[in-house]
Amino acid sequence: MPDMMALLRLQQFADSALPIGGAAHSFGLESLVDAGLLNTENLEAFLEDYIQEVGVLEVAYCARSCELRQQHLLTWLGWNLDFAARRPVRESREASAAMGKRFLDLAARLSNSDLLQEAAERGSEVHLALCFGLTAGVMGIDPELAAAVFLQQSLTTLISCCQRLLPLGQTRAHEILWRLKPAIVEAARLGADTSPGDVFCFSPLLDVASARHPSLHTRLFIS
Amino acid sequence: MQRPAQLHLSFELDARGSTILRVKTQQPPWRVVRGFDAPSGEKLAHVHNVSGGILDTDSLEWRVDVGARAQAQLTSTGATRVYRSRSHDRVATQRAVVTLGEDSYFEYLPDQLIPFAGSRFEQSTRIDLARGASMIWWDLIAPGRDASGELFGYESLSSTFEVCACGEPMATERWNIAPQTQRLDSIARLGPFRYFASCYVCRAGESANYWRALENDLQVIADRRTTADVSWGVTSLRKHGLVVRGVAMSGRSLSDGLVEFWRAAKWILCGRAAALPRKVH
Repeated sequence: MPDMMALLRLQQFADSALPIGGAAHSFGLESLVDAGLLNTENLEAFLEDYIQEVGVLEVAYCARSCELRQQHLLTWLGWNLDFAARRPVRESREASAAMGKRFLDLAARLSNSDLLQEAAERGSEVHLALCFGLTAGVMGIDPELAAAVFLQQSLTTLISCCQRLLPLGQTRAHEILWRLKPAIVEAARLGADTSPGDVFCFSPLLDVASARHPSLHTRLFIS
Repeated sequence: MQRPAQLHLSFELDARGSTILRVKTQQPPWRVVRGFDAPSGEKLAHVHNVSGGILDTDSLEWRVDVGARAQAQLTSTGATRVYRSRSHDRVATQRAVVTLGEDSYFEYLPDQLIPFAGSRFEQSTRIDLARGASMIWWDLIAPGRDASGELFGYESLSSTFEVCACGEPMATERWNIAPQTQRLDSIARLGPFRYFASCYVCRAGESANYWRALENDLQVIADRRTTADVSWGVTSLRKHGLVVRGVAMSGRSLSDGLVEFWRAAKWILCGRAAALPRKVH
């Protein structure tokens, strides 16, 4: 059981109010809504399947990063390139990298961790899931717990985005997030037990929607 | 453990600077007759699977090496049919390794993959591009024998697809489809669509601005071709290339679209007009 200080810090880093730009991205959801494919009726089922595909991939990298040792920073930077190769769509990949950089800079500044500061000073391409895992590891958080917290934070951001795209109220949004918790726990367990290179992810429609996002006539989100 | 059936093709420049095909290894069911001169300048080879399709006892491997400055085009002679597995647990496998030398050019333009009801198939592909190497690679996956009303009746279909340029990963796909246990009509997967396709366009060493410009050019085609029954998107990879993805209700709309993207990309990539490979059947 991690100490209370570590849990409080983790909670702060997982707060959707963390100034890393999460509210500016929809990761393709805006295109799905625009195409009439995503609505309030199928949102919960969509998110459950999203967790099984994209979610498990992200938490596998998050959990693996959580286990990193100081001397393996170059290996971690290589994992970031592997992760980028698995995110084919430019806008979503660039969003993940932009948020990762801001997260890492902030975490390095707040924590005074040598590892985080060295990682931030490298100036290499880093991604949010891996930066979250690396930071959680520095705080002594268990990889599976870090993965679950990261995934819940990601889903909170997506649901919040849907509140701006769909007629989705606060209560319904929280009901959905509440009911997704078993799927989050299962994905975190699977992600923590699986090498990231072995994780499957099948989301062609989401890829197409994300790739079509720059073509939308009016856009609320950057991605 | 069954030894895989191997095919090894090497495209090389001869003394006059023309691309020649050397068939270094071919074991049944693989068969390549000879190289043909494609109108656009590449050496064209048709890969036959003389058994007519992939059986659950098959373990297949193919390797293609394209030497420095050589230009090659590879296609199939028809759709790749993956037959129903007759055993309880066997999975047919196919592994491909492609190496592209400096300033080489390679196109892989196969017909669609059709996994029959009850089939299990696992494919993996690894492509390495040296500096200046260019590639256009498409694939199209059907839900089954659509004309017979057979949709997503297969047991499992998995794929690992890795492209590296100058030793660095640029795109990795790794997916598994198990229609009996997954909701394929989920918006997170295929939604209302049944077919899916990708077309990778790559050149190692080309700038990010080049790919953004090509992305914009091809997105015009994607926008024009997107309807209620088919949707296309174009996006730049992290480096060295872009990918066109499509999902559709019918295979024809995807294959027609792939041809148009290929023609446009080839013209911009190397200034040559694309001509569909002549089929020998």
